[in-house]
Amino acid sequence: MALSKKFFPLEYYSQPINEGYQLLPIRFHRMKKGDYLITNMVGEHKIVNQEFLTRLVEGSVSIEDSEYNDLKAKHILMDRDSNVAIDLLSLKYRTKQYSISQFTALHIFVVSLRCDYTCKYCQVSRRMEGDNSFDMSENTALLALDLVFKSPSKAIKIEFQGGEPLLNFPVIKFIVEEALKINKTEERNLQFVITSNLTYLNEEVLEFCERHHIYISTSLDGPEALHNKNRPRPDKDGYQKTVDGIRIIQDYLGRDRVSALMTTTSESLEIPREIIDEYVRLDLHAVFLRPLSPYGFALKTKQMQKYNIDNWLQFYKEGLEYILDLNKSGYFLIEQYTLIILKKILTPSNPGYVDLQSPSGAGITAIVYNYDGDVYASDEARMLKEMGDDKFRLGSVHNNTYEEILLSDQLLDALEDSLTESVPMCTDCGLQTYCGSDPVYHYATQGDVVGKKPLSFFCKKNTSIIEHVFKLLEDPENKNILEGWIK
Amino acid sequence: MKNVIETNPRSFNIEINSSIYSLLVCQKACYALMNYMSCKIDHVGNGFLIEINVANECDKTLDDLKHLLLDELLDYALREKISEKTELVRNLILSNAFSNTGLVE
Repeated sequence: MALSKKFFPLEYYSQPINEGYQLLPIRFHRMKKGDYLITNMVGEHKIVNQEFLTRLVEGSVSIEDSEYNDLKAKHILMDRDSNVAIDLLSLKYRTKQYSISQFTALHIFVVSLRCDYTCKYCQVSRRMEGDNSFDMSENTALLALDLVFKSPSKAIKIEFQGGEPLLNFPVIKFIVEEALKINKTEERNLQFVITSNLTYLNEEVLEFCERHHIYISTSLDGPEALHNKNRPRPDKDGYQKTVDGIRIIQDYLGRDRVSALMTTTSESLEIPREIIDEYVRLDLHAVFLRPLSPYGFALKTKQMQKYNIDNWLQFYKEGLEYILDLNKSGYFLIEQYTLIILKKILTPSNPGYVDLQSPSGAGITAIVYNYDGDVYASDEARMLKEMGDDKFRLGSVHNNTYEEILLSDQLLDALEDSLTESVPMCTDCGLQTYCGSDPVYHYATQGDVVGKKPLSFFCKKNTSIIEHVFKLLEDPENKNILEGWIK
Repeated sequence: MKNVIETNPRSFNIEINSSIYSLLVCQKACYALMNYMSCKIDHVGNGFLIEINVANECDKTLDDLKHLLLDELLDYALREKISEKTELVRNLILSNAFSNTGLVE
């Protein structure tokens, strides 16, 4: 694939810089207090006031200025002494974009749509427990595995989702064993994760997970009453089964082999501390504070209408403050989304989180193989199909080749149209390198893969979180803790 | 530079001198505030006239909105200047970053 726009030849740029400094490509973002966050192409940053920013752009910041060397070190400007800045910045930019060349690392297998829960916010399309016509077959699994190993990624993560994937455990075993056979010649860094509600956790599952070093991810929404209200089971024992399951996995497989995440409902908003306390009580050291997603049952049951972005941000900030307090008192606990943002702000690498990439990670960082062999750009794309819209159905493992699926117009058009580098507002946004593009979300909420960002929950959420993280980093004690999460 | 003319409690106009703010800057500033207002931009004399209608659900005062729009105009004008001043070096960095990758013809 070649870039369609050719660059000028190198000689074009060789005019010497005779005096002063050359401003390097920067963007800026006006923060709440009126200060300006300047960011360069790779996310190196500096906060200044408006007067200083104007002087910087006009070329009137002096070498005598106390900020000059810092601006130079952060590749916001370069002068005759720092022509190497071009090479360094190019290298850093290429590093930031490296994950694109690796292509799809996360392969999600929806091995069954059956589930024993009736969660009111479920974004997938659950089916009755006994209806195994919604299970993935071995034949479909083999065809999907063939596509998995066509990805050039050195690291391959296969994640089993549902419904409840353990309801089709025989096919999970089949996929793991077949993938390991293929990997004897492929020699990828292969990892497996089962996303489960833990109802069907048993000795056989645990023994298999231990043998193949499989990680388990589950959902824990908070205290018993909240968890059972959000995630009902017929026997009203979802909380107990989840907590028991987490403890069993910790004892059997090890504390690092199980993680949990929560989904915020309107009932969660008032009790962020109690929710986080559940994680501490279970000796878990990571929590993911997630808002509802606008798909599936969350829409059908009108959960999305019960709170707005401001309500959720307040919940997130209170929760994060409590998490920092716990860290100050000696309990190590990270908030997953904050950690992703921190990595983007403070490190040269790209954490590869699907929703915070440009081009979007849908389809190219992660891909979904549905139980019937249909391939989707993301789990949300699969849900759109269940809601009657196949916009992001990329093809089928039964009928299409790898090239047909990954080079489909549905995918490439959406990725190209939604690049943050070229869409309204994002193109100028000072937070661009920390944010990303989510065409499926914007299509689902606004009917357009680009989306009008001033009206976007996604934009407001990320802008507010990134601003908040910068505010937290101003405090030395918080900064020390947050940097510790990255290490 | 900018004359603010109030027309009714939910709308106002702003005259913009085009030697100071380009059409693109005006468009970007209006776009950024679409959650608060809808804007219509017309050529008028040596500049532009922006007709602003406040969105029904907007709870900001007209004064707040005027300040927001003026701030956005300033920001986007500065961004335009940065873009002009750094276009060549941005292309050089991108070219350098992807050299020897086979991605650049």
